[in-house]
Amino acid sequence: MTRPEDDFDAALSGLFDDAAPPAHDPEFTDRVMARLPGAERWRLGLLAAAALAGGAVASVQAAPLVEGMTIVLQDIGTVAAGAVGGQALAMGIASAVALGLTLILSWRELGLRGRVSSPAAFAAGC
Amino acid sequence: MAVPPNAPDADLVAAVVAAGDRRAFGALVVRHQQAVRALLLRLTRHSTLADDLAQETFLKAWTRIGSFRADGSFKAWLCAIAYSEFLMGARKARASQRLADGRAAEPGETSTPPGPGGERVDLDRALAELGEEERTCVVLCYASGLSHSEAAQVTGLPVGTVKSHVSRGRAKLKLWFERKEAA
Repeated sequence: MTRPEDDFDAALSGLFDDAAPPAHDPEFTDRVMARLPGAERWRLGLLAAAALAGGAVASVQAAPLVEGMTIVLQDIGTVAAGAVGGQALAMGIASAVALGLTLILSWRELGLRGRVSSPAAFAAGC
Repeated sequence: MAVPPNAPDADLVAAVVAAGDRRAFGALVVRHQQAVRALLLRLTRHSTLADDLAQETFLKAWTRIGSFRADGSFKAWLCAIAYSEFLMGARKARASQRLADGRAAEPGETSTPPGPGGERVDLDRALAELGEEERTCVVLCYASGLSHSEAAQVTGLPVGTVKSHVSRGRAKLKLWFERKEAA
């Protein structure tokens, strides 16, 4: 035997069911997907190209830098420089700095991806 | 490896969090759009506005999906965002209404009803008799099928308060329908 409360609960649930929830709308999904912040792959490509260009310029300009660094290294680390060679050590440091910079920029780019919020568009007629 | 669209919510969410998988997110939108839109339609009683808010809900979900905890229901999490969007929208609407110095519209008068059909109109009229929190709790529990504790998470109210709102709202609805039948 069901209680009147249960009957009303069932009737109320039925009313909500019959009140036709909005039909599945593929266009709604399309609209949402179109508004998602893009992956912006072109920016990643641009970043990689900029890193390569920077590396190329740096390699052209590296000789005087390497020479200066070699002198410094000879002064402050003759042992280390002697072990691996001053030029190799300087290039290694420069490469590490460039790599670190690229990683940081890439991480920021990937980290920011998908974190951009869209402005709320609330219809005026609420 | 791509997650199939029929995978459980948790797997789809994991794919979105791990790799920004847009297809997985699309599958979540397909799966939950009806529930979110239905909830907002019941709260706003305005189909275009409900769809606008539902879009904002999913966009917020995309940006905040990393904060979803797998021990809860994804549907309840989405409903919480939707309810927050509804509240923000309602606040803005009230503010602009005050600025325009317009009179407060009776519920259902200026809004577009969800569609033709006496039962739908009746239900909307009956819901309009409830207080805002009562209506929200009734809609969450009866229309969206959330448990009292999930509705409490969505609204930020204590579970006991949600139960009271549902109970009072239910009693008011019952009275409304009884009066209507008697008339």
